[in-house]
Amino acid sequence: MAEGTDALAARAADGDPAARAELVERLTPLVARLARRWEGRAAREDLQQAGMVGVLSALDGFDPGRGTAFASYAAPFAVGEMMAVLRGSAPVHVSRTGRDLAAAVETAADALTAAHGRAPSPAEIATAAGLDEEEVVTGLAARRALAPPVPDTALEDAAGTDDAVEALEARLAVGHLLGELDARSQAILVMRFGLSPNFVADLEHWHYDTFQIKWRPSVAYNFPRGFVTFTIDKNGKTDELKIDQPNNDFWFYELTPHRVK
Amino acid sequence: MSTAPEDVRLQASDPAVAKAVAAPVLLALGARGGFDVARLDEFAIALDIAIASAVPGPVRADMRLTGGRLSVTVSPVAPDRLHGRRVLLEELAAGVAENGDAIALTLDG
Repeated sequence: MAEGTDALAARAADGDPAARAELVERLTPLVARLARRWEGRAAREDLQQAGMVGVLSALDGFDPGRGTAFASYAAPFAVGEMMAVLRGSAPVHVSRTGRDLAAAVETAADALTAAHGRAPSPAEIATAAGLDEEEVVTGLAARRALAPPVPDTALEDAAGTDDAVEALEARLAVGHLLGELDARSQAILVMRFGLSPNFVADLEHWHYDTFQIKWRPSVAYNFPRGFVTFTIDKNGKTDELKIDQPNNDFWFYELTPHRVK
Repeated sequence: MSTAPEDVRLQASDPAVAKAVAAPVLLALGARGGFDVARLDEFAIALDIAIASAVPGPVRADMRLTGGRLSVTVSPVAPDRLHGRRVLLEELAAGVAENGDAIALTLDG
């Protein structure tokens, strides 16, 4: 009788290369099926490769004791990596360690900035977060990879044009505008979905125009890390909101938000 | 804070490779120089933009940390690709200087 996928994943997570290889083979049909949704928007091979990177990255956090099958647990990670390919925003895969360091650096930097009224140095972050400076640098680099502030495609599509530069300036300006708000105002950004009142999330500033989604306990679904990105127009008004919440059930990116006031 | 000059010379086969490799190195040098993370972040964006302005093909990025100053020179860049980005670079870096097909960015401590 073949070993169950969950047991295989547990062995792969423990570093068993044979289990890892077999897991890749076993989940290839699942990844291929997921990738079919976006065929035509990116090369199938790229999507499948990214999806498998997502599957393998899911190994880090998989806990068989929580009762979720590994395939179900890993699917949102696979979808997230494929979405990143579609956005062209993840040329470098960020490991779980890199993501954790990025989060630790971000949290410490925000706390130090609030406490001292200025941005901290990496050495100060290292002391505050209990990291060494190399880990802080890794976290800073991972943060850039997770939420790249410069959209290469925007620059390359319109290389050297004023439009591309204006778009980038607008993205950078969101972070500056947020910095002008008082601490309470920065903390009360909340995302609600009118038809699903349980879906409530606090938005925590991540980087420039990007906010990390912190779903409240009323949301039963265990989403992986997700982000919301705002863009503003030339007058400094919010122009667009994009939700990037990898998962296999709710297609947030298909929603079209409308300004109500 | 480091006081002795530290140089890193990076030659990449392509701007995409240079972009992936150069920013982490720049962040590491900046961390050793004691720059704050907000300015380092913006300087790294400036480096991204400079590399995005490079002529397709091999790219060189020379980085130096000395006396509280972090500098990076990227070459060869295409003047027409750089043209529309100059103002933005000047907002992100303390100094921007073009010299032939190279662009030098500086950040002062």
